[in-house]
Amino acid sequence: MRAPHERLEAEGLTVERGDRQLLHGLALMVEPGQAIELTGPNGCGKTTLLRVLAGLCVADTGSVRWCGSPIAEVRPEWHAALAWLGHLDGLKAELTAFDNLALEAGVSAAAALHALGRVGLAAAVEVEAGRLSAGQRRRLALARVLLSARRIWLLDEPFTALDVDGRALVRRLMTEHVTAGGMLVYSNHHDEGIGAARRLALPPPIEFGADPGGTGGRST
Amino acid sequence: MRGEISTAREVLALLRRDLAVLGARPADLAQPWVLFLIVCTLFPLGASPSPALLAEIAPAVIWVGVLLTLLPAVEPLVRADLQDGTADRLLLSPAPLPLLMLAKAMVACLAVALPLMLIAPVAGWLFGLPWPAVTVLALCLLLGAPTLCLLGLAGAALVVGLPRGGLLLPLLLLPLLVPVLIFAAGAVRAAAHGFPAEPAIRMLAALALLALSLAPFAAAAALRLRGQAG
Repeated sequence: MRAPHERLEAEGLTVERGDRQLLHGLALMVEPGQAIELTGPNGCGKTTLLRVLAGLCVADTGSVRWCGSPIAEVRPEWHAALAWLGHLDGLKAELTAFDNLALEAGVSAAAALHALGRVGLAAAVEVEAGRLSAGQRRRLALARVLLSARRIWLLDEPFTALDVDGRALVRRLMTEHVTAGGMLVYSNHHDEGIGAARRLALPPPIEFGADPGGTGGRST
Repeated sequence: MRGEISTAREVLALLRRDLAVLGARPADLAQPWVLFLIVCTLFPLGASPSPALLAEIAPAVIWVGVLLTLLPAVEPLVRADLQDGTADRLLLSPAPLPLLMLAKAMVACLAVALPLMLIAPVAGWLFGLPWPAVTVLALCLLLGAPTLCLLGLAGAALVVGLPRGGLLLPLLLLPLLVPVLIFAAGAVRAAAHGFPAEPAIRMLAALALLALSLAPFAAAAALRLRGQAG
């Protein structure tokens, strides 16, 4: 069943959110060793696009395919290949940095410690995630993406809350992942992404507010 | 084969993580049964202290106490996941979502329902219920408390965090809770009066099986809807 060549494709994606239309028939393709950087002003649908690609949201039109099959049909395979870093870090505030990683499926203690070291949290191993700073929590969430050893990373604003060193670290980790044949789609509104990535500027949303056919009456 | 192993690993990881989170906050674990004990203590103080009356109202008091303390304790389990982004990670797990929701219901049963299952029969005995009725109460809790956990989980997955969700949840669950309350309290009352409790217990068992087979799917569908909106 599996196509010989792993790839993520999307075509014709359009999402309607209230009075706005996002993405307007967007298409993209990622193959091993490729990265796409999503850019565009706030509210243009970067997060929505990532959620549609991941399969968290369903687009109003268009399709997302993993290895040629719609993701709804190959959901377990697709989600087993995917590492997600959302706008929320997905960490348990009550657990230590170490436990947040080590309690994941199939993660050894040694691997968890190694990953914490790589993201610069070696000194915070026994600190509860709730007591870490926002930047440290972002690093911890990235450590989990690293540990997952998934082939495609979908990262929503991976640079958020990070200091200069942290952003350099993320760039290095993303570049390593892509160089090693991984796939990557990430959104970014900081100045600098990674050199290996193709830029994809999302168009601004279309407002339906002026449409006389729309009876929403929600124009403000 | 590989798929089955990774599913089992994901479910086990969820159980370990959720239990570790609960273990890190033992005070929250104590809340439901402390509240339950308070309800059971206050009722006799407010009602006339005649032993016959207390034994008569005991099934209703105990079951309403279980309902009112159990549901608010299940809700935070779901709320935390929705607020910290864990819900998205559950949605993106390769394991089937209903199975993960079932594991979550198991966590709720262990953390919230189990202490109540142990305490409520003692409360029944203190209320002066005869032994056969205490036994039936324990049996009903064994069936009813997990049912309430399952229903509470599905309801919470649907409305927690929505504007005015706090009001929606009890309204949404009310029609589902009423049969559990009627048959559970009814079985205990029947046993206390020397009537056979078995029919009501069987109905309770049927409700438990219904909740077990439907609630994980309802919770999974609710969580998918939340993912679509968020």
